[in-house]
Amino acid sequence: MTNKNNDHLSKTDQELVALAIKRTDDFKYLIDRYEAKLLRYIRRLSNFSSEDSEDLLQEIFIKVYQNLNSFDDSLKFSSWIYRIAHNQIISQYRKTKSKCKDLEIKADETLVNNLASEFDLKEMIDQKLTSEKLFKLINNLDKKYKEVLILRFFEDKDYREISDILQKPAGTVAALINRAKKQLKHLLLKKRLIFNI
Amino acid sequence: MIEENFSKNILQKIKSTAITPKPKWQFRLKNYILWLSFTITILVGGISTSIIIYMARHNGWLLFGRFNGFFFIKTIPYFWLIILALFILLAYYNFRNLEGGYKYKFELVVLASIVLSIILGLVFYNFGLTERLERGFERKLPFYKEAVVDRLDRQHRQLWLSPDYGFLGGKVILIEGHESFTLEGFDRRLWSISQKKAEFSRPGMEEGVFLKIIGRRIGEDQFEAERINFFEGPWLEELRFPGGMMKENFYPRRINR
Repeated sequence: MTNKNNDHLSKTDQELVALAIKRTDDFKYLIDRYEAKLLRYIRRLSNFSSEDSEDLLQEIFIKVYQNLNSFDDSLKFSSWIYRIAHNQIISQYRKTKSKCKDLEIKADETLVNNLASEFDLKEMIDQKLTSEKLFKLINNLDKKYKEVLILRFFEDKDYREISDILQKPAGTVAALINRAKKQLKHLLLKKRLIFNI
Repeated sequence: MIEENFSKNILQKIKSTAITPKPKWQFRLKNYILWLSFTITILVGGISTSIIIYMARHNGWLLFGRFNGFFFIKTIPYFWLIILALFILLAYYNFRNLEGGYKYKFELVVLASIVLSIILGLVFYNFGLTERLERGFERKLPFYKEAVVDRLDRQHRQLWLSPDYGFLGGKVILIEGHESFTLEGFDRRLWSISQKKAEFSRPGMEEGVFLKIIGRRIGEDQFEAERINFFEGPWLEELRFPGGMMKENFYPRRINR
């Protein structure tokens, strides 16, 4: 019985999509698999309240369900679902622009380590560089830079996946990440939060 | 923290509002429509390019070195260049929305659209479609006639009414032996043309023919011809000079015989 209940765990995303198209209840497995990740992504990318974030997440899953037949096998399902989530977040942000000042990145402890390792800064990071300060700096970057940094360092997506999520050429994504890193390094140096490059 | 029954709530909402996955054909149809509109934008780009080529070949730009740059600037077919630019951007927009279209850079898509438009333009031009299209536009679109054709026509008349720059056009009204003839310019002014040093684009010199002459003014109403070309028929012609690649034409469609 337990084995049967956990059958879906061994299934790929593509298989779960096929199941969900046939039977609405099986969409539950995709929701279970992605709800936490997507909620985290919403909260990292926006300053929506918990309640608003969950409402938005619900809208995202409904949109995903409606568009299951447009899922393209050449993409990773996670890229596809993140793309829908990203577009919904941006659209929601635009709707509530008057209420929100800007997309705001939320604190996350893993970020400092991820960024430090990417920047080769592990040895050089000052003890003063708390995650909170780092988030503040990232929030000062342009929106296009924030988006790619979040996907790269928070969501741990590679360039190809970011390209599929943001629907930008991979070369553009690489250039954006490089520019974002440069801008961030510049800010870190300016604030004396790193010793050297 | 997500509420415990989150997935259950979503499923309930889906069922209660009878939401179903959109059928596959809808997505396919959307993609076909995007491909179709991309193709149409490239076709319009091709038509624009072919008309630009047509005008470039026939508006006397090759002569502008002898003339002044102002003439060149005035006869640029801005209308078609703007249409081309607009449709290249539209083609990019359509391509961008195609499945996987976002993977290609703006510069690449725009460059590919321009190359495709030029290839199509050359095909249309070589199959004679351009002239028919242009005449069609002129007949059916009054604004096009006024803004493009008549404007270019005026510029070209002006070109062949410029003896001081070495360009003179008009009708032969009297042949006086082998050395000179009288030409009535487009402004009805009479000119005595010396043809002693002139190269003719072809035989057929006779009274009543329309000529476009390149040479120099040598007096108040005297002109020495170096090259003499014929206006052939009501539509465009192609003139070749001995030993030369030079092809000089212009927009002679308003010449009234």
